[in-house]
Amino acid sequence: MSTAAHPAAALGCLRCGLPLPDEAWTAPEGIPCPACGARLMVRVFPALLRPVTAAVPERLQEEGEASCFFHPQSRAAVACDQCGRFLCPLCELDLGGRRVCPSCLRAGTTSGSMTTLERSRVLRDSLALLLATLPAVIVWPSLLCAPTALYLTVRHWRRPQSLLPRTRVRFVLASLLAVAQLGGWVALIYLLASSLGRLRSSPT
Amino acid sequence: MSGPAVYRQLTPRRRDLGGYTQLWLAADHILLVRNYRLVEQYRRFYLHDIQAITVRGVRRWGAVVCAVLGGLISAPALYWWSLWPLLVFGVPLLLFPAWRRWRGGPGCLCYIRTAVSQELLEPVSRVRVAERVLRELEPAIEAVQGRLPEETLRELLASSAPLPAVALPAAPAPANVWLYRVLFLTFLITAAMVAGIARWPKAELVVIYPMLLFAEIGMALLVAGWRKGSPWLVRLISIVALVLLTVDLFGSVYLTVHGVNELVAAQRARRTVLPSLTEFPNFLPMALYAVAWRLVAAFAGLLATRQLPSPEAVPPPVAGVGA
Repeated sequence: MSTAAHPAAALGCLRCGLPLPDEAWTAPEGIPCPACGARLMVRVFPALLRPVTAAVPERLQEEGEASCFFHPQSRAAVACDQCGRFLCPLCELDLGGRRVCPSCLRAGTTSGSMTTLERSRVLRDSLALLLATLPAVIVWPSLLCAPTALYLTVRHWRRPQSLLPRTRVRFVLASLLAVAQLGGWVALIYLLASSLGRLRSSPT
Repeated sequence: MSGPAVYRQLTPRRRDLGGYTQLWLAADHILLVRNYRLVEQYRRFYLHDIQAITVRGVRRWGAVVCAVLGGLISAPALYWWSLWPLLVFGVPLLLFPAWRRWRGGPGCLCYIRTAVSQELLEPVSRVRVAERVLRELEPAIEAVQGRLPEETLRELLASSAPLPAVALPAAPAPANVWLYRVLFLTFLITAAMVAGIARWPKAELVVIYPMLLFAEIGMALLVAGWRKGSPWLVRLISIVALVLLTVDLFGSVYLTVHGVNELVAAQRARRTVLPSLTEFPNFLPMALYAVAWRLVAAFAGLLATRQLPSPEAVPPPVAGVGA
């Protein structure tokens, strides 16, 4: 481990920005900042002192050595965990302990196939529930929104909605409400049609 | 590809107007979830990359603000309008967050540092929660990175020369300054309009008032809901404005109901002359109240937005340690 720089260069008081006193690094219950008085609790981990090294690929020395897929003149160091291509240290990307190549990373980002790269998700179950509840207040939009809520429920029933544990209760509620609204519309149309028929068939 | 990670809840949900934030722990990373009701955004911090976790104690004034506002609302409501529902429901509603905040214990800000970023962990807003999170996270991170022996750290600190003051990366300038300015200018416009209604009641300016009121409420909700982006003073003004706007809303509903009653009475009595708006009971105190708080909020808000740094003035982040 090198001691070229003081760790305080990396971490300072979160309020005044001054370097933390040495005691702050080893006091588990925290200490007040001597400059501004803000109470600080600091936990440091070995990654803070890990030297930052640039990836330097080695050049091929002998005929028949495995070369990087993207840099044919560089010696391969690892294989991509996704596609198996050989990679030099420059092309190797660490993704939560997995090594992937740049093209797999790009493909995973665009297609959404790598869950570890997902940055957001649309919660379709919440959307379906919203469509099944809010428009019902104004009544007439439910004619459009209730089928949409039903469609979302059927289409995305099997898909995980969130990265976190989540039940399907919103989908169930949305579909029940949507079916009830559609039933109401059917009943209303039936009543209107039958009363219209009665009016037409009456002798007056 | 890899299967879905199994997550364990680290913190309770920290709710706000736009949704909530929460922290979850997987085998190899921490997941910061920001829920916007219909969309979830994720931020991962791999245990392997975490350099430090820093917690700073802060004073939270929310409880005091809530209690004071509760009192402020109930007094005029009782005196002017005898709106018992506001007193019975409004005050407990305002006191409830104060009680919740008081129960949560002292507040804090928790930052997580990696080689490339320093992020605020919004769900960790109480010292009690921070201590629990640290108790759970420390063994998990040490299982991945190993333990940093205290002796090594002491030796390192002793052998290093003390450094001059190092500035942390400044908070990025909020990108939505224009919204704050529009909100505070709208306060000014509405104040002028309310004064106009009181001065020229026959000018029918009152028809624009509901639109402006709802625009103000919408914008104040947006500003108050941007927990991370809005500066604290702007947020405080918008939260206070929201409460005062609610009172205005109650007042408007009251006046509207009174107006409808007058109209019905006039029709029954076959009167053609309706009373002027300024003759409505408590109209002038209500107008004075609406103008006064808007002027104060608008000028305070516009002054606060003048202090904000421009987006170009943000200094580059400080480089981490690496030898």
